[in-house]
Amino acid sequence: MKKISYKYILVLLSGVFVFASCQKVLDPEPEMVLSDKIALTTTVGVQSALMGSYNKMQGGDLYGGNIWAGGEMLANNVKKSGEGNIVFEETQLLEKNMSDENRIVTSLWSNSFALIHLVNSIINAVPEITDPDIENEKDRIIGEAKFIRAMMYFDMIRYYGNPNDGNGVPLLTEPLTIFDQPARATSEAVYQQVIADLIDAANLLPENNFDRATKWAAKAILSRVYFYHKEYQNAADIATEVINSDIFALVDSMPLNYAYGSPSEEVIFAMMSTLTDASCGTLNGYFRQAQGAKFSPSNTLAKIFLFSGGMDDKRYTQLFKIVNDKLFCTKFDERYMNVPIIRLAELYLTRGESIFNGASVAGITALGDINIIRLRAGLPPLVTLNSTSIYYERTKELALEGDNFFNQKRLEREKISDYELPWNNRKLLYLIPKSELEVNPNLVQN
Amino acid sequence: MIKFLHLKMFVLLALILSGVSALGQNGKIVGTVSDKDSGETLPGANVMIKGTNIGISTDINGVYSIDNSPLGEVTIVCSYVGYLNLSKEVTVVSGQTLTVDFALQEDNMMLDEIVVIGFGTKRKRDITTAISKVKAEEIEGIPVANFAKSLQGRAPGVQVTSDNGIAGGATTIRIRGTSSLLASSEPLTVIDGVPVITGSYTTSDGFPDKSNALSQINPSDIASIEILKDASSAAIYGSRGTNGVILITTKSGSLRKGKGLEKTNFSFNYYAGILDVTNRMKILDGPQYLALSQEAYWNSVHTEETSPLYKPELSYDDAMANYFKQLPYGITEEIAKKTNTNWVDEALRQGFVQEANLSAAGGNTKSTYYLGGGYFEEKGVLIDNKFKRINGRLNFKHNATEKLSFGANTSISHTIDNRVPTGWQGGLGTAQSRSIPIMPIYDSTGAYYAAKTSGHSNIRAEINNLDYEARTMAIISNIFGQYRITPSLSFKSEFGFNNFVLRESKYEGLLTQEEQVSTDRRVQVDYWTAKQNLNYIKTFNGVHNVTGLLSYVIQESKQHDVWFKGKDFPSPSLTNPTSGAIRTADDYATAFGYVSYVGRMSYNYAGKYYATFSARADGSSRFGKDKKWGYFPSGSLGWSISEEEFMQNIEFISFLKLRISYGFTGNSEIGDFSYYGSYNTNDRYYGSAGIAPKNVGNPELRWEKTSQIDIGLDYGFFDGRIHGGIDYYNKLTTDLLIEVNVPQTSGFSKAITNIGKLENKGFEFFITTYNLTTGKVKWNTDFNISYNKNEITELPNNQKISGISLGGNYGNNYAVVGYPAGVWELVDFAGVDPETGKPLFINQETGEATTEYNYDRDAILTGNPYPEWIGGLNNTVTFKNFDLGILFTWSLGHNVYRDDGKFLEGGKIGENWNQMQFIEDRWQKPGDVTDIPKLIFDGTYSTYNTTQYLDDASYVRLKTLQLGYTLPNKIAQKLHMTNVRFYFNANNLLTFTKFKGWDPEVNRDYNDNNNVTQSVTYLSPPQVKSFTFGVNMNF
Repeated sequence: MKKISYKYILVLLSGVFVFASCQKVLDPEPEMVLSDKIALTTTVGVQSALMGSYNKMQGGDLYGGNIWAGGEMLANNVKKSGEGNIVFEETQLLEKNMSDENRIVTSLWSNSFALIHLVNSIINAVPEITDPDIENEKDRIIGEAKFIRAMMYFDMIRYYGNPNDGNGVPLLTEPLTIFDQPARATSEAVYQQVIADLIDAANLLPENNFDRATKWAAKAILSRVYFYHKEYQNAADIATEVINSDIFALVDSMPLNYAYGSPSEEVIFAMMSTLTDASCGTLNGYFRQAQGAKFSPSNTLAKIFLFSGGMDDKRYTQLFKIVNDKLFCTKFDERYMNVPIIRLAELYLTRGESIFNGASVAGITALGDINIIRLRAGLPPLVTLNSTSIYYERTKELALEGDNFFNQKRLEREKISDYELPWNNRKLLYLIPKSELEVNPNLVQN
Repeated sequence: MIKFLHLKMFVLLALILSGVSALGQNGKIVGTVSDKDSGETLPGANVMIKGTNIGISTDINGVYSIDNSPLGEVTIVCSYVGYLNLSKEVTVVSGQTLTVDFALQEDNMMLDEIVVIGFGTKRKRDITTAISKVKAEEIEGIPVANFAKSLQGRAPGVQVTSDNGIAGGATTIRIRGTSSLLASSEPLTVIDGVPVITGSYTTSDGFPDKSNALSQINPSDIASIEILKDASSAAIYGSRGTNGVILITTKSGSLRKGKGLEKTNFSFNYYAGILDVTNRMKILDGPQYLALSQEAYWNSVHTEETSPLYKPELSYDDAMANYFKQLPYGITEEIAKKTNTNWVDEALRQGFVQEANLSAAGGNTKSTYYLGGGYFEEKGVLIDNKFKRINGRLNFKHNATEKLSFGANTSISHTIDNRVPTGWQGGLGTAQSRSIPIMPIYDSTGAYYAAKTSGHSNIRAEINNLDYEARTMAIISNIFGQYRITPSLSFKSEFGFNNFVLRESKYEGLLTQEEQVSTDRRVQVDYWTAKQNLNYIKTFNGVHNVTGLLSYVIQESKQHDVWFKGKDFPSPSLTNPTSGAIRTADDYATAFGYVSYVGRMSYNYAGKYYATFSARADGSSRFGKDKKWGYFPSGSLGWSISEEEFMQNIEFISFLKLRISYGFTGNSEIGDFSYYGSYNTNDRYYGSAGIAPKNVGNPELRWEKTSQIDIGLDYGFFDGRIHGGIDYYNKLTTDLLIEVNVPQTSGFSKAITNIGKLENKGFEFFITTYNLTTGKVKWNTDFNISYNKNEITELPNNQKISGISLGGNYGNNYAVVGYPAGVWELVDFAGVDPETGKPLFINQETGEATTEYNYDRDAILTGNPYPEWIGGLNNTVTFKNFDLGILFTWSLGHNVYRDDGKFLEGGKIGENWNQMQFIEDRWQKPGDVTDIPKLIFDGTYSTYNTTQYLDDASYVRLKTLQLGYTLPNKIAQKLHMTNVRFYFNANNLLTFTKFKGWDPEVNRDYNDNNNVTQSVTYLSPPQVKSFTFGVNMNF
């Protein structure tokens, strides 16, 4: 009996040996994430982080949606279609009474700075990497990172930059910590950084880069930046470089620019989609009729077509449709499509208008450039140009592609679309998020 | 249950004492045991000869017979559950038969009842902490899948909210208030000593309302539920004790009462009945909708100068032509005028619920067992919503030797949950909002009307298009062995395992969308606990009672999820994801672990003076290297005043005990790896792998700490015919775990940290009275009420933290110093201007009413999301063979914000949403005095967050009414039954409230884990009431 008891004690005590795993229990390694201490210490690490950067750009809060659509809402180029459900954030943009907690407004800020933080981290990390693979990749990676940083700053300045006091956004070229409280730089300083980054990117990037940022993408965006910075000569010169590269060409069938698969010849840079990772979801929700588009093109936009070419304009017949007596834009009608960020047509328009504004390019006239675009749209060439006809062509060509609102601001129009607000009215500015002001006393609100 | 425990004790006692069993000649003792008051005989009472293991139970007629009594003077002890023990000294003479009858006095206070206290048990009279006990009888026959729902109103200080009436839906449990802002405030649930998996594991994608793993547990298996409320009782669970602990003890086997020790106790229960919503919210029908919507349109066109529609020159007819043109989904004037669809009817149905349980329990002096199987089915009131559970349980215990025992409590349960879209994602939520009554269900061809619209406004089409099923399998098992090293020292080793497997499948066809989409999701959670305990119990000199406990506990949980998704199938009959043209896969993994050292020491002097001290050291994987360990001491003192000499003369006081406790508990219920600075690894782009920063990391992150003082008094008067308790507590939580906003220029929006303090203060009172105990009618009353006040006492820089910044997605709830967590910030609504019909708001600068809505200037902090007063009043009346129980519960002094109110009371009439019927009282012409503003078409109201939508959500509910009839013994015996009872049960029968929505008991959907965004409804489904008939049979 006694013996048996001791045996039982042994059996029971064996439970005690479960103790052995104690340390492992308290220190499980996360399977889903990478420690921030090692993430950017290898070439494959920074390359992946670069892909992570594109992934952020592709999101609905940035180039997959609201960077485009925000301006179109502010410019009243869209109206409620009555089909999809408008949320109050969108109503606020349509009515120009955005709060500092409007999610469309705050998410541009948070996503842009998250992305800027990431590319700054990449730029910082690359020189520290010791594995030999980095040598061949270094220039490209830094080029892409700077390209992305420039794009973000440029679009932030367009939304947050205050033309009345010159305030831009905090200008960061190093990753900051949560304890830093940077103040806003001037819009001008931000513009200079954007231009410098794009010049660097154009020098560092290859001509082909797996449908991501290339030398030509950097130059095309640089031309856009110069144009919006009203450096018309530089805008025209860079545009000419891209046009003359002969890599890109206007396509006859315009819907090809808004399609899935390899970008058309005309598209210089696009957010790419795969069947399992589409860039266009948010834009589909806004514009795609089959999905119950929230928006249809407004009368403002429809009128411009009506006044200048009407149904003869292929841009109308190929890219607009009428369903149930309502007008819809079909630029975002593909379930899976790339979102073109810049295409050749814009460079013609930019160069044409730059020349109209005083730039000169040997052998090129403003009228010639504008007529190239008109011709492709199936319209007869213009004989003379004026600022209105240039405005109409740019508005129609880039309709609902996120350009028009800023173009109106560049032109310092007294009334933005049919709304009674002048271009520099505070109500047209995105506000610095309330939550950001609360934690960073160095920021001033717009 | 109590019976079982008593018997267990008895068996134990018998075993211990068996060594001194006397040998020799025997005498015979016979007698009858009866109730002193009623004279009824008591079958199954125990009669023991003191100091021996000789004893027997009374038979069905209350008669016992002991044939082998030792001779001479012996003491016979008679005991019966629910009665006071009675002993008699007699002299047994060889060859004679002695008759000794016992008339037992009912024990109203049950002071010798065993209470589970966590890592052990105590007699109720020795408890010095705040513990509430709910017994199986109290929750029997209540038709709910989740036992937590039947706790409502049963225990003071325990607030249980059924989030909605969805079959298989979730509950929110708060014990003595909400003690955290970000970390979970749900109590720890422990079954037979093993912490178990709780919470929602099903996807929120398409189904915003949560499920709850607690529904895996069959309420019929539960013998008792103890709720640890104060720090001293909960500190034994250390870092996991702050929110209180729910200890569930499942049924165990016992020796069969009556003749023969090894007979099996069978029990069969069945009930079935119908379900319906507790309340029908009234929304507009077709003609009403059309009239009001046209009026709103005309108002905007004709008089609303700021409206984009404003065109005063337009004639009414032209305006109406435009109105019909703007109708969505191709609705024409003709369709609009002839259609009157009640979409809510299309989403609701009469539900059905049934449950069957069969169990066998029994044992002998060596082994006891309980074997139970159950089936539960709830066909919910939401069409297609169904929850089924089938489960089995085996609890087994064997005494191998006098010293060694071992056993296992194991349950396996399988559930099938057909969830349906709700709230803002569809189903009933859509039916009451985006599905307008002028939209027909079918078009002229008989197909679903506008089936493919975004938002799936035609919910009939949506319901038909969607197949969803969640199947789970859960094993909860606790295996233990115990060895008594010396009579006072024993060692117990326990291994608990909770494995939870979920398979979710969802298929959406082509009826409402362009692509077929099929999703298959698997979740596996493995959660184990190993516990090694050393227990010491000894009485010195007859008066110094000492118990001690040392324990070492390891817990580990690992969760892995995978998703497969397929789109575009070659045939509609194929729904497995891999058949799809486009396939994607995702996965998720997480883990946590705890290592704990536990110690407890209790001392009492002669049952008069009590002291208990406990300490626990907890290591948790959820914190960084230097912050893993937390220490949680506690202590309590008790004084049984009624045991003092000077109290003995005061006849009417039968029990009086003062107790005080103080201690520390922790909370670590934040996500795993919150401290860990990390990069996300699924940020791929265009087919290439991508990473991006995820969490900023905080190596300083540590426990949220709560200290609590509790002062309580337990009392009993007139032989316990009136008894109860009263408790005061003050709970202070410091080092609050909060996600704070950080400058987003850092690349992050939030960082998790420990700052701030909050307080819960309150008292609890409960009383039980035996109003009538003699005669044909017996009547007793249980009443409990508790008050809790939640207040945030410190936040960094006195900042105001919004629920949204804490992870909420909606609402105007804030955390502000000086207010309860989740106070609302709203503009004060001041009615409607009788001249213009515009809503008026109080300008906080001038105090005047204004038509200008200026949130920044005028928003005030108002309302309280947590009830101040909760409680229950239960009356039980028995008359002959009938019994009647009536439970009222209440929840008073809190608000619910109807976040949908701003859309449903005129706000979204211009966006083609249906509206509440009471907006018919709208302002129509100058001079109208009403609270409903002039209807306009442009959605301005839908942006107003005002007190207009903040309702007083106080309610009193007739929660449970149960009428039972027990067959007379004679008839039962003819049927070979020991007991047969039929009953009718009605749950949530009547509700008294001023709340304007579906039901005041509501918690909004969505995956909000913070405690700031609370008491908000947004198209949330209502509660259900049920009417069931049932039968209990024991044989």
